[in-house]
Amino acid sequence: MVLKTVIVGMADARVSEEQDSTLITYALGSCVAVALHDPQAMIGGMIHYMLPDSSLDPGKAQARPWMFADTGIPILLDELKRAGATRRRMRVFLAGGAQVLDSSNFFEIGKRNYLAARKLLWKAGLLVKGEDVGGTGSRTVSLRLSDGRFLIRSPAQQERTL
Amino acid sequence: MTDGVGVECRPDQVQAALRRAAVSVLETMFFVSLAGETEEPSEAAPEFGQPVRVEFQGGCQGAFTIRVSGSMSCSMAANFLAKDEQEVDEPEASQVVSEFANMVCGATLSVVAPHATLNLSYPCAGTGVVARGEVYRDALVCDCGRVQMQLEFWHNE
Amino acid sequence: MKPSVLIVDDSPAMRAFIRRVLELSGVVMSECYQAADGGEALAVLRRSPVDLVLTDINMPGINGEELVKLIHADEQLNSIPVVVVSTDATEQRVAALLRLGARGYVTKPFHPETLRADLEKVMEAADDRRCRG
Repeated sequence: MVLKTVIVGMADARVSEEQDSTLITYALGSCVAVALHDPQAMIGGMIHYMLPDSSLDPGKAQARPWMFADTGIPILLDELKRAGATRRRMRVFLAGGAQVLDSSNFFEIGKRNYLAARKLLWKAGLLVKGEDVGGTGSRTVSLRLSDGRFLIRSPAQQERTL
Repeated sequence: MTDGVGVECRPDQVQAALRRAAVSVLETMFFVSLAGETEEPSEAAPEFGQPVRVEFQGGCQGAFTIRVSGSMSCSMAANFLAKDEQEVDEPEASQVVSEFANMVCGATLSVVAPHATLNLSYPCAGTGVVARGEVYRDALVCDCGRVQMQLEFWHNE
Repeated sequence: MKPSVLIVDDSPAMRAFIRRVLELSGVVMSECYQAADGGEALAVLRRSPVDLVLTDINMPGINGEELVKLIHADEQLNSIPVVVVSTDATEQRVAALLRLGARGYVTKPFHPETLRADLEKVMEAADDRRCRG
């Protein structure tokens, strides 16, 4: 069987219904990835967003909704629902939100990105199954649809599963 | 050590514990983050809601008073109760600020008076009460508004 | 079995928060009773079957500590697991409540997932007791 890799870019999101696929996103610094998996419907989705709140730049939010938590996460949840995923079955993972020096110059942007995800998920009625957030390092994360495994790779640590 | 009976920390540690407790409660239960600006504690500005006060007694005695800006109480309630801000009514916003006061007070005292068994009063409106004893003040600027806090330890008469 | 749960807290907002955590955790409850203090909680416990109690400590009238004691001392009620949810994180308070009969202790502030994990442990232990019992 040929495994298919679906790359989720920065300020991007993907939904996959192919059970031999793996969603992957690279080099999360202060950005956050939210991954959702419905093990029964075998549907998965992942977003890699950069900023917590679209009010920081409404123009950009219009053009690139995946850039912001508050515009991107609701669209991803809608797309997953449309594909046949059910909220009650959904397993949710979070990663990223590191404290890194970046050019955006926003105060504690990693933590604010993380709290934005938590707020939106709580309001949408979703609890988090596992998370790997904060710190100072970069992370690459993947969600394997066949078994719902959420894998994290970072330079200083061995690959781990949540 | 402070003079407050049952308090086992230096004044700077009490001040730090108060800040840590408030930030932790805001982030964990209300998904509110700090905005990065700092503000000197001052007299309540008109846009602040009514102060909420929790008194405590047992191993040490005193009171904790908190004020949040009007728009912030609404955002906090919406986050806590998983509602839209437009759906939050006044009693709900006030209950949520009371719970916020209770949590920050309890979490701070657990750190600064770890061996004191304390009873906290039900949070209530605290206007017109003059601070006494040993007083700690702090103010936070958050992504959805502002918070002012005051922690007092009373000495036995 | 669908459990019936009693949430005891003088804050209606906190009761609503805890109820939401239970619902989102997939706990399908047959009933979710609520009480604002220990007295109201005992009245519910005496008239309705309850499988799990979650209680705050600082409440007017009969507080959470007294409630845990009263439940533990009552032959009709002492098999019901009680989980304390409180802002008091001091070791001696936690130890005292567990000694009095509480089966779990969650300190506020908490992530919803922390409460879910603790409740799962307490419910599993209660099931084990019932099976052995």
